[in-house]
Amino acid sequence: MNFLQLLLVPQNKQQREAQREAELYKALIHHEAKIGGELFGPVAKGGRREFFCLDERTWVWHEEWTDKAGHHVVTTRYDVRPNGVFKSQGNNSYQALSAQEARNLYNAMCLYYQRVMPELMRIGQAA
Amino acid sequence: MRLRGHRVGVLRHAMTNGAVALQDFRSTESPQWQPGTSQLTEFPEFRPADAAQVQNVATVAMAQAPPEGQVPYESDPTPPVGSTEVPSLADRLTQTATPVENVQPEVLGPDFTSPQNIAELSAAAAGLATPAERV
Repeated sequence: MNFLQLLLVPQNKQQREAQREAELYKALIHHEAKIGGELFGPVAKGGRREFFCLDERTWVWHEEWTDKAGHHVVTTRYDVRPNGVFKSQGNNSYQALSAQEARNLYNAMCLYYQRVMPELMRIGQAA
Repeated sequence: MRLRGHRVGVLRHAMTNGAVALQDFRSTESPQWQPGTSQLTEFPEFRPADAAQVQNVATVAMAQAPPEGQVPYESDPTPPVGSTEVPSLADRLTQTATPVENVQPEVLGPDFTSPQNIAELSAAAAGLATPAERV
């Protein structure tokens, strides 16, 4: 093993570990997104719905469905700021939430927390 | 489970942030689930059974969250490498969205609740009648 390999081996190991952690984190979010998507009732056959907390200030809603007009995909990103919540859809600019929408989002966040936290605790106990 | 601990911390902080940001909008009224009327451009409403379960969750989360200025949770506060790439749809939004700080009221996007969009989306929502099927 030459000097270059000596330098590279630990780095590769670190990279692999980082990659593994990223994959595990991805799996956690996917699991949450599935739970979140089930909070709002039925999804049409062939449709898809996900709702999840991306980070401390970002929530994402994703919906796919097909009708006579074709396949539709709507993704909404909610950015939580101290002075309110703003949303954007697709590549469009942000706009502030209406009062009713804010109330619904707040309730959804509470419900999400109620459903997801026990799952995370269960995962921790199983590990 | 360092990652799990990190995720728990993220959720607690998200709840705290949400409670602060939405405190002006909170109401004791529980929105009613009205199948077929939910518009995808508006945050969806709830089934009554679910709405009844929403009680003081944010209060609990805020009590569990560490005070401002302290280390928020047990792991490195920086998310793991690549975490913001997942799911990819969120990543695409992150890359294309305009930072909120840069948004001026006069340049807000199109009106998502325009009559045309409402009719279109309501028609789509009306089709959501079969049991959930996850992909």
